[in-house]
Amino acid sequence: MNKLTKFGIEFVPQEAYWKTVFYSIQSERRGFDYLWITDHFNNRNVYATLAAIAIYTNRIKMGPGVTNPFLSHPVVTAQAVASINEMAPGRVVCGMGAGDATTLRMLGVSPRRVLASVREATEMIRRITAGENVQMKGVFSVAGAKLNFKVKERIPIYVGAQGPKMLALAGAIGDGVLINASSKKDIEPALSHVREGAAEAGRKTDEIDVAAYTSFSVDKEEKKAIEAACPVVAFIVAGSPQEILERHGIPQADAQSVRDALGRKDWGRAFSSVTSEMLSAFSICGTPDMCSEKIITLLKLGVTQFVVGSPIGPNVRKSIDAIGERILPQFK
Amino acid sequence: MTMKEIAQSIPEEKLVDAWKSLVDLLLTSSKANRMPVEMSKAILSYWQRGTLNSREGIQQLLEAAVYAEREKAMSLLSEKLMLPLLAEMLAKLERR
Repeated sequence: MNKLTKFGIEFVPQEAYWKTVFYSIQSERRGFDYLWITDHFNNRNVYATLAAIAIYTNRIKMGPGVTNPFLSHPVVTAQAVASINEMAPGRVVCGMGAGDATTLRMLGVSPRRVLASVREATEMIRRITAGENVQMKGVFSVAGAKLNFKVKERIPIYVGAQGPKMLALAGAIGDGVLINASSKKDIEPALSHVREGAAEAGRKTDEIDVAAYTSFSVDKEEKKAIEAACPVVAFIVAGSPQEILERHGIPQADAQSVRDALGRKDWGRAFSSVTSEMLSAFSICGTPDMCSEKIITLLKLGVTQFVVGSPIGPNVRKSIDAIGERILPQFK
Repeated sequence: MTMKEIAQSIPEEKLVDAWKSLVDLLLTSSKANRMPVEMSKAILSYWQRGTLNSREGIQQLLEAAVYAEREKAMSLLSEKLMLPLLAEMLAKLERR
């Protein structure tokens, strides 16, 4: 097993800033390498949260996981990550992706030319944070964008990807790729798209930090870990296309009953309709030993960063401790 | 009795349980989202320095817990930590 595996953790800043900062300090102390903060307009602002985390931590790397080019212009994103880098020099990364369709729709934003947008945004952020005076014409046009301050450290850009074309784009242009998946059946084909994209761009895959951005839930009691995972998995199932469900052998009728219950806001029925096949397909959950086994499976495929995503566990503080004490030491 | 004196009166062997229980109470409380910023900054400061489990750190946690979840904080002291006398003292303290 690669002892240099990196571990990341995702936080959704949906509660007061101090709680996210609290968990971030704890994660750093417990040996995590990366913090990924989600970016949705209806939660606490990702950069305000990152600024607070930057001040209270010393070692851990951090960045939006992921932002998108549709709500914030790439120039503004470049400015934001560059500013955070002043507070946490050399510890800032930037996750860039297509954005969450549901929350973008709420704002009347209909992403168009998604691949071109992510490609251009990545280039623009990279060049601006490198100190260039950028002129670009495309989905986003700028005629002389330059920061009035220097960014001493390079800010790696990770492309958040799920579909084949975005995965290939990540392989072509990303310093890393954040693959939104939790199982071998999804990671394996995803990796082949990343490799293809890298090869076409004349890059080697080992130049790219391949991160599995998982839905994760750990507890010393398996039942509690599963209970915590069910709500997240229910929403993943509801949003999964038929092709993905078939890949995992999940009957359409089972998925539909979850969707229907969510549509009625019958949370109890929706979460209790989550089957063991769904849990296995769309999450890594269970006791620390059970989770470690599943992590090993993903690392063997070529994953170089394992990201512990929501819900993390029934009690986030205890779950972070459990990961730090029982899981990370096996890989570091 | 002051909050400081309550924190000082928690038996040594119950300190770990006390700070972890109080932290969990606050982290899982939606009311703790609205606590005064100086309280959250004090907690983060102790946490960052690794001294949240000290008596001073526990005093901060107690103050925050009483602000956000007064009843739960008292039952935590009396039932979970088995310190009914301190819970009584806490009940007598005026909410900030």
